[in-house]
Amino acid sequence: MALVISSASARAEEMQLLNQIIDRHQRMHQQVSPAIVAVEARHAKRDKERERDGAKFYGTGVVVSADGLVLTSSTVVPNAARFVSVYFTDGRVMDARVVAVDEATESCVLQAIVPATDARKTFTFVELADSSKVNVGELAYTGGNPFHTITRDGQVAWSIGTISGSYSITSADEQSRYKGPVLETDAAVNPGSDGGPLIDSNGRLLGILSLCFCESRWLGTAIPVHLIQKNLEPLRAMTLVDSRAATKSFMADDALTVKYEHDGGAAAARSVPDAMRIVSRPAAKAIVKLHIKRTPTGRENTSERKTSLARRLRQRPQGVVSGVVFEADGHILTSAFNVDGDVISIDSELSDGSLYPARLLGRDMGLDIAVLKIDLPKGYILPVIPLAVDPKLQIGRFVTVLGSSEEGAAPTQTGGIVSALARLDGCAVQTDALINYGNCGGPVIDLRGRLIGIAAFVRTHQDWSQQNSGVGFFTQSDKILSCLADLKAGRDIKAPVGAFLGVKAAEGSVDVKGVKLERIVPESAAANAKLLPGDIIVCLDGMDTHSWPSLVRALKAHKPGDTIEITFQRGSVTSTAKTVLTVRIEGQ
Amino acid sequence: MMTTRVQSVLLLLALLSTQAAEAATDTDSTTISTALQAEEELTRVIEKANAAFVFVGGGSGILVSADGYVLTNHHVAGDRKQWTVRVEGTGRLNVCDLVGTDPVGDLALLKIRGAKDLPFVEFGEISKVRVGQQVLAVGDPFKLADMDGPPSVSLGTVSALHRFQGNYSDAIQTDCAVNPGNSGGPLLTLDGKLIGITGQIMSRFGAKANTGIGYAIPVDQIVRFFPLLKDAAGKVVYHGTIPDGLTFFNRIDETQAAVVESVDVNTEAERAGFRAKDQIIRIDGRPVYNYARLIGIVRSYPENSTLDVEIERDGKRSTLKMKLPRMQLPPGA
Repeated sequence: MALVISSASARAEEMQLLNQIIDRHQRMHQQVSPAIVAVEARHAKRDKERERDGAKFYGTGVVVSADGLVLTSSTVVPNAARFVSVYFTDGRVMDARVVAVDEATESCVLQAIVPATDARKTFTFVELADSSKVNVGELAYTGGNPFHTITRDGQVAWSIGTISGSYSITSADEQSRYKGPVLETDAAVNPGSDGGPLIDSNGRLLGILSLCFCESRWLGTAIPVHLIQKNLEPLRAMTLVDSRAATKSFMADDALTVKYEHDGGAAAARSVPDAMRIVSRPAAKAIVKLHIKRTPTGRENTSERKTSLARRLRQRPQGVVSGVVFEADGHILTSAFNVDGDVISIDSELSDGSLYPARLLGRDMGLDIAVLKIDLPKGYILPVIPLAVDPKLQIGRFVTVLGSSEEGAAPTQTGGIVSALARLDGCAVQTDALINYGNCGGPVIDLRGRLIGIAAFVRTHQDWSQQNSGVGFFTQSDKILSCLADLKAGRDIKAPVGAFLGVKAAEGSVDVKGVKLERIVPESAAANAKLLPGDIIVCLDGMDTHSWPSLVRALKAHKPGDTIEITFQRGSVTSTAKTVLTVRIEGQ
Repeated sequence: MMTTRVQSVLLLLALLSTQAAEAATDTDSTTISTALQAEEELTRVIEKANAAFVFVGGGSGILVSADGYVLTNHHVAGDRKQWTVRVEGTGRLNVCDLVGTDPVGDLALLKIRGAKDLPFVEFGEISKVRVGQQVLAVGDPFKLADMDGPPSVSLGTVSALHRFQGNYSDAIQTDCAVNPGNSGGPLLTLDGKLIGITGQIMSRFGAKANTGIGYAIPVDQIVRFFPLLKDAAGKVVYHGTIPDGLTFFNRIDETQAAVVESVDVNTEAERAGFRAKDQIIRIDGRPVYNYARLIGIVRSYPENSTLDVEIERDGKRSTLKMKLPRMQLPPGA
């Protein structure tokens, strides 16, 4: 790598489009956040001198009318606690009256009561979007009061993401009893966000954030506002506006002057999610839902969710998982994790809803990849997306991961960037796109619509594989192609064992070219090559080793048993030595 | 030029051939080419930003000068006087000395011995940071880079500013993927400027992993402590706190100020001119809307700083000076 002798700052003209996008996102926050409120509900009236006392429930709400109707969740304002306060980001605190409640959608309408002393009688509010017409993959924002950001610091916690799924929740838990349609988002949703808004790309309300979640997804959800509206009388007269219609914002300080904005950068801000939706249509047809039956262990999650959430997160859920048809004769790729354990049967549900039994052909445990095969009636052509090799894959490239959620739902879509290459001993690419049980095994698509990998490495216990942590992995297509013949022929491949040289590098100055050795492990390949502390390794089997990382990389290109040639400097003399690499020596 | 054209034609063909129902439109191709441009701009920014990244033990760090000053978290560097770090841009292992440490602010400053011409990032300006703008977090979550890999980059948003969370009294909140191991790593604007050092996260479902809420020490606080850290000779630097003898009502209400409850006689606070019922409106030009915010701002300054305090008393505004005494280190810091 070339040495960059300068600071990292970019010039403005190098990032014209990014600046437009940033500007748009900032303005959406400015426009919407004054309409977002913290909500606190108590069993007894608020005591102004002892503020924290008696606050039993808290969450978020959103103002939906100029006269101060606030929409929130009934998980924030439960039946027992009907003394309610709302906190605005400008610092005002008002009492609020419960106007209407709908248990079916866990929603609740409050009326903020303006104190007689307050001259400002109108409120900044958001319009309702027609949430029945939005698509998975569209840009979306969340705003709320998680961990008391509004009450304590006057700050809406704002997050950018997409509508990552649309499905029906089938199981309830202690936090939310809601069962029914939701919009899922990969923007941040946390305890205290509930009751807050899911916002579309034009600043309209798509839904009210809920604590309910799908057990193969573990992501934030919102109950769509078009369903809430039907059940809440005070909202019924309001118009549901198309999410794509140009922004119309109502600002309280302009006394309800309606401001019409031009596109205002909306297209730029939407470009990446929209492009991903467009280019991933073929993949959305080739994705399959895998229904895996295993011998019961008695430790499965039950639908009643009695186990703690922390434990359940680490257990494989019983829902459907993902795979993708990559060859039209019925070959399917998925993560090996999805088909390990005591599998009785695998049923593969195609995007048209048809169901075929699938056979497991082979697995590569190092790459976490499995190939399945379904047998099709003669002449039946499957929608397919072929593996595409991208030798120029770079950190910062946009990717999207398609996956499964609840039964009967369209594919989910979570987006992100490539965070790092050559992770997990070169087996995986790292991405900040959220990866979970539901989309593990699903296709990873780039901005050109190519299948560049398969989401993988969701394990249940390793730290680095926590679901949705923004540290996710996929197995790149070129790696898959390299083992494909074996897997199709039914041969399983074990995880590789790394080669071991047996040296520890000395701490160096910035000027040493090569790896200066401090210690040699006895009986290691390095000891057999008669290397000594102080030697500087400059080359390993033809690969330049100007630094420690380059030596490690050179070593990773070999396996135990390989004979390698080491070029090293001792004093002013450069010599070479041959040695056989071993497996890691115990205790080193 | 030819290549680009061929690619886009191929792309269109691919779209047309596989989508019977939804044919690719002109709007679609415009959207895709716009997204590709954004991607190209982003990859360039990341390449530059990554070069200044530094691996510090199980955590992260960032070069802020060509001669080798590395910022990281106190909870990463601890009290250890000497570190071997790896600089991403050069790929080398370097010996660092602990120059100064700030246990309350969770900052530590290291210096690479004999360094010159290293890649670094510049300090950004907090006044230009807006909620909703996109930012990058660079770090080494879960030690995934191992001995030779690159750091991890995540794109996210500034979710909130001036957050008081734990001992981060004036933090930037972000939805970038920040995980164990990211500690000490930079939060960067998309033009590559440092606006914070990421160090704490919230978690959900009992998982020790990101859930869209990470906190960074803001750059203005870093800039205030940087000269002190440089001169600390390996020792601790201290934060300021509210002068003795001054107490406040701890409440959140419409007052939009921190309200003085009492002022003890013969104290610095009394000599500075504070009186009971004074409403503190601004401090060092920054709005104070409750007691917690006052503490949050004050603790983001070094000891002995003298700040302008704007108060309202009987409907009249005036400005007092407040000199901040040393905040004692909490146990275990």
